[in-house]
Amino acid sequence: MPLFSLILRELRHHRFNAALSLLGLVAAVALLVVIRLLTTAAERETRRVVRDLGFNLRIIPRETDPELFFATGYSDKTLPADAVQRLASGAQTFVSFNHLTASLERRIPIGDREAILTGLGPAVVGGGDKKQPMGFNIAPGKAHVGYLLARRLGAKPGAPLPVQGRLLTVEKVLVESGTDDDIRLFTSLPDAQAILNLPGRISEIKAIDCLCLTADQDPLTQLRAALTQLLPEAQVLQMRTMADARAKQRQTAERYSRFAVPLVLGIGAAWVGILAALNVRERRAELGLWRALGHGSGRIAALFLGRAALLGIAGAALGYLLGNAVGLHYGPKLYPVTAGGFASEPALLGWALLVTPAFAALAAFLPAMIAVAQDPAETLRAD
Amino acid sequence: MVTCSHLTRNYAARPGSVAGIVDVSLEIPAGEFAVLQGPSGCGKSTLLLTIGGMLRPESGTVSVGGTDLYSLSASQRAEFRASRLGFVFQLFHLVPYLTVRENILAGMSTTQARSLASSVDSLIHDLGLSDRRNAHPGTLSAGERQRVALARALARKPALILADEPTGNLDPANAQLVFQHLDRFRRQGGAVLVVTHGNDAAPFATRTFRLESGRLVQNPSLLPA
Repeated sequence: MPLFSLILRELRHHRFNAALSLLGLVAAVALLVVIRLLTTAAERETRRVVRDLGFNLRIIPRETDPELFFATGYSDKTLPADAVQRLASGAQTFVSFNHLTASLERRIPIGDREAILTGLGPAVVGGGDKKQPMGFNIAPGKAHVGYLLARRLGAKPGAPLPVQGRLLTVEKVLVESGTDDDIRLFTSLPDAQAILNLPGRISEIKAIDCLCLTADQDPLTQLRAALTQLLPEAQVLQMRTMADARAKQRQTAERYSRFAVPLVLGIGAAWVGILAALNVRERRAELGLWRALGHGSGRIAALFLGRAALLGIAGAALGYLLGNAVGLHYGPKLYPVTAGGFASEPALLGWALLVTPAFAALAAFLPAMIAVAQDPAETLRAD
Repeated sequence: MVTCSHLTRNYAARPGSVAGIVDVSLEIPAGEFAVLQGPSGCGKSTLLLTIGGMLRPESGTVSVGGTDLYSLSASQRAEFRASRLGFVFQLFHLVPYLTVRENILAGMSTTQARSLASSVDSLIHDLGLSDRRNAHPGTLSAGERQRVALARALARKPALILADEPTGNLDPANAQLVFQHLDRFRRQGGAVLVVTHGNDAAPFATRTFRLESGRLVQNPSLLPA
């Protein structure tokens, strides 16, 4: 009888043991799938929250006086506009920067008072990164007007807005933010460069760093060392609190994964191994018989390892379906901000089908070796 | 057929007990029905399993049909067992999740099972198991189980059948039936070694050995067939 049929028959006969083994594997795979879905979700949620908090790195011209920068809120010096591309291309080599946005800012008179003109370049994500660009891109000729400024100017979407001789169209009036964004006039970078007569120049690059080190790990020294190589004409300021919160969140998520994954694997392996050992014990007489009938060690081992692998395949498929269902059902409730981002990961099924049978066979290896080493004379003798 | 020379094997069947054999030499030619008798724990099963290639002796040799069993590798010995030896045990040792027919074919390769299919069917018929061929061992009586075990041993057309207390759990009628089939196998040129502590095999025996404390204490007697 082919080995596969023999294993299937045996599984059906010892269905309680088989069901418990399968249960262990399903639970382990399901837990790992849920952990994976939730870890990804936690990362996504953190990214979103941090994005909503704003950028945590500000890269400004080296000659900027930091005191003046903090007093006015922007640098009065400029960098060449291609600095953002140089930073993006070197980002993977030196240190991970994400979501680079070049800007040019100056106070300009508009109406009877001043406003802050902010020209925004298109967002650039880190090299090879699949993340969505943060922030918003403004098309040339369009303007997004801060809440207070719009109220003062009576600006409405679709209305023309002359700015120092250049005619823009109000695309959006921003909601009240409670920050200096309420007196900002956002335009595209080329429009701002034209209005300020600073072609090809920017005053700042905003970014999010992915160094993921907390303040006590001195990330700023590393950031500055990296930046010196990439952009010698720039200096970097890090918004410590924000960067720290992000790093801590990420480190917590990683610690959780480092703890949970081995724990699940360990418990799963012990469960499968113990049940396999019980199965060997229960089948001592049968093993002796197979020996008497001429089965060699390889065939005996294959009976047990094949059994474990078969359970592993079933456990992988069922565990993936269960984990996916649980993750997709409860995940959005745990991470409501990015609830829409939850989706099954079919690649996980492939991994589960590949790894779980091997894992189950590994867990059953010791019991299988016990079966191989079992003395048939022990179980077959009558006296 | 079977020649054992100076076999010695210590064997602790249970903690504190020794069921070994000491310097055992015997010969069972083809066409013989040999009975090995002796009290419980005297080493009968040890000798039988040693002859069956499942218990390596500490000293001595076992030759079956001219092949020195323990000069073979483990896998060669397993193949030899599968093709040349048949076993019948007191506790039947049927695979619980296989049917009667599958149990009889157990351990055979697909090709072997296919080539022996018709002879297995006639064996099932001869042993009165036709209406039980698709039943599982759990639903069979003790007599039926032993007949299945006997059919499994006979199906491979072995040269030698080793039976360890084959009638220990059977009523006299079923015991008689088992011995009759073993005797028929013997008459067809096979060799049989039955281990028993009773006398129920005596009418069929052509040769009797007695083992006590691991030693053959009685010279083999050649009985009329």
